[in-house]
Amino acid sequence: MPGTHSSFTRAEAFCQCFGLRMPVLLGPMAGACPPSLSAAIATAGGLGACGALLMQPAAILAWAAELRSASNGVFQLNLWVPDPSPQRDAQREAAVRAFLGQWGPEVPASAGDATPPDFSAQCEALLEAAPPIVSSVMGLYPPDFVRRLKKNGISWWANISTVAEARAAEDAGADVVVAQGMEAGGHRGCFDAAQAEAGMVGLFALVPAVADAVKVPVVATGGIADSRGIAAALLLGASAVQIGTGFLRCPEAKLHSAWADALAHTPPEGTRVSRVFSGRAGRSIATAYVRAATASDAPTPAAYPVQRGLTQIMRDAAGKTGEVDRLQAWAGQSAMLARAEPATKLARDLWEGARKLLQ
Amino acid sequence: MWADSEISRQLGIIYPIIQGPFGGGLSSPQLVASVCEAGGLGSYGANHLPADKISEVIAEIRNLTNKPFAINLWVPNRETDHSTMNAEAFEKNAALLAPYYEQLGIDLPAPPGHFGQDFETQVAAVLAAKPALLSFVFGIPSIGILQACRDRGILAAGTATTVDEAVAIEAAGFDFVVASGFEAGGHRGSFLKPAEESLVGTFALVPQVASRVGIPVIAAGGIADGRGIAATLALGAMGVQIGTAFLACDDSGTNELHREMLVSGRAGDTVLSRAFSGRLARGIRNGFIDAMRPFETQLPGYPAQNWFTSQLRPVAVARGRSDLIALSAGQATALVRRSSASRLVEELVGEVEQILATPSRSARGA
Repeated sequence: MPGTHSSFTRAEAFCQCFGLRMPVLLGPMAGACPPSLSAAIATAGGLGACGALLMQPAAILAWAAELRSASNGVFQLNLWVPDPSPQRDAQREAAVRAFLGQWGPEVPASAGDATPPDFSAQCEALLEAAPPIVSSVMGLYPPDFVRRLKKNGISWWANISTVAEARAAEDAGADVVVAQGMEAGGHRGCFDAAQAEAGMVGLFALVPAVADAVKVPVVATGGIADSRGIAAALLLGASAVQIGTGFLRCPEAKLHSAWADALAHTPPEGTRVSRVFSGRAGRSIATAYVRAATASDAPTPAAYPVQRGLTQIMRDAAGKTGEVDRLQAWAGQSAMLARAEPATKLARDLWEGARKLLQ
Repeated sequence: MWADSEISRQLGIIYPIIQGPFGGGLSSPQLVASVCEAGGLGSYGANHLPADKISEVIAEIRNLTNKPFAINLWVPNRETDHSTMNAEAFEKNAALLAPYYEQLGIDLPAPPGHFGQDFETQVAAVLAAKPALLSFVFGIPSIGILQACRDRGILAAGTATTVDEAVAIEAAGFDFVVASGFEAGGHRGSFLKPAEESLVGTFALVPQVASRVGIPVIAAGGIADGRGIAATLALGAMGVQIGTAFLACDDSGTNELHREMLVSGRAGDTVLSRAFSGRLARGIRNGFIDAMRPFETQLPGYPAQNWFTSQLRPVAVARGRSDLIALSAGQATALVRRSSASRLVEELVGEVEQILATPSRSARGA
């Protein structure tokens, strides 16, 4: 049984290994991770992060270049491991489009054709950008890509949400596992998309079980947004924490103010896991759209990424008018703990507070 | 000094470790006494018992220990409970479950006039016996009951699954709030919103409840070792309530079938289901839960559904049919060990003290 001293020792060893000065890591939030936020956290000694899911290779390279010009800190780039393209279901898509028409402009059938950037090309961009760390979510990288990462001296961190996924990630060569609890905002990183709701494990049960099951360091994420959460995660056996929603109200996150302001008033039970934005399960504020789209009389969302394409028009419209009720307002269960403060100061304060709690 | 918390002082216990109050006969006077004698607070879930049996159980506990202990009751929900059923609804559910009665060779008895126990007389029995703590799940009892607790020097705890519920519990005048996270085994004690809309992880629930209420917070859900206890204290709790790890102890009231599954490492796959009682509860996934999934919204509510499945239980246990009984378990079963309750308390305390590296009052020297 590790002691407080060893909680510190473990976190310090982790920081030393990755060139960090605090075990506080930004969550790689696709669409909500401008270089400015990463630079501010890296400046504090934490880890910057980019969720590159929706970025073309050129944009990935540009993000890394901008981060490097703004900070000499450490950062990671994250990709989704894609599933095969889904079977299209014209009838279901038509029902979803009709439903979305009540929430925004009419949605043309072609909206469902939108596809994310090519995964292989993104992988090449990651190698070219050469960050110290690359992370995966929704599955494991192909063995060949893992070999190339390691050959290039890039560490691979795998997001997992169950003990079984943690073991699979370690077996596949992951250097670190990021244990994502059910509290986390944004998409649930389950390897099997169908299990995203039924397989939910709370972070409090997940971290010690994963720490016992694997030898690689464990990063805790999901529901951590203040010093208490950081200290608790380290006591449970984590080497570091990853914070997403907790940094979204920082000015450097440049989040839509309607979304950022709503986080301050969102209790944990005011969030909901649903597939209504993208077709994959993710936790967001239970806005009017989310409540309506998850009601029993609402059409079943289309598969990923079709649903994402279908909801794009509504989300774009909401972004212009600033209505949180139609925005894709991701939020974890500790959204209310997020503070609207400069990110460098916030990261320093969070870690300082956690250190005091651990003493 | 983690052990010398507000909760320990008010309850007169050495360690702020509370054994979760399992209902349905899973608590036992022996378990309660063992936990109390080891310096924690044993709890007996008395929801399934009529008033006279509650008085007997409390007398039995007092024969085994003179330390403080807790009794737990369920607050009825007059809107969603099914205490009675018309003949048509009864026959429909009996037909749905008929294959299981047949498999076990059981003749379904005639329905009682009223399912479940009478809450008011249960409360009266507990008040008369004056345990140190009366804890409630599923809501807030009448102001009169909470006042009667205060008049008799009985401390009262309410159970919250959301921040709003914790605020309501404080406003009602409870002494403590148990913040019960998504990970917890057994029933989800939600009462303001449906349980399915009140699933908050312990990691998010405890600090936000601690920030919002002034009364001491007891953390529950996913805690089964010293790491978990130390972590909840960091999150802002002043004590912990541990269920599954005590349920697996030799002296709990459960059967060997269930106990073996808890300590075997095969319990990892726990799920939330209404199949066994009509109220949402976490347990090990089994055949009955899977078979009832398509019918879950049609099943009668508590306590009617609980009556239907409790007819299966004794025979299913005797025949080793773990697919037909509720196997309550939380998400921390990977950390559960085979032990006695007194040794478990001792080990938990040792682990916490090693982690926090601060000596507390010793069990013997206090």
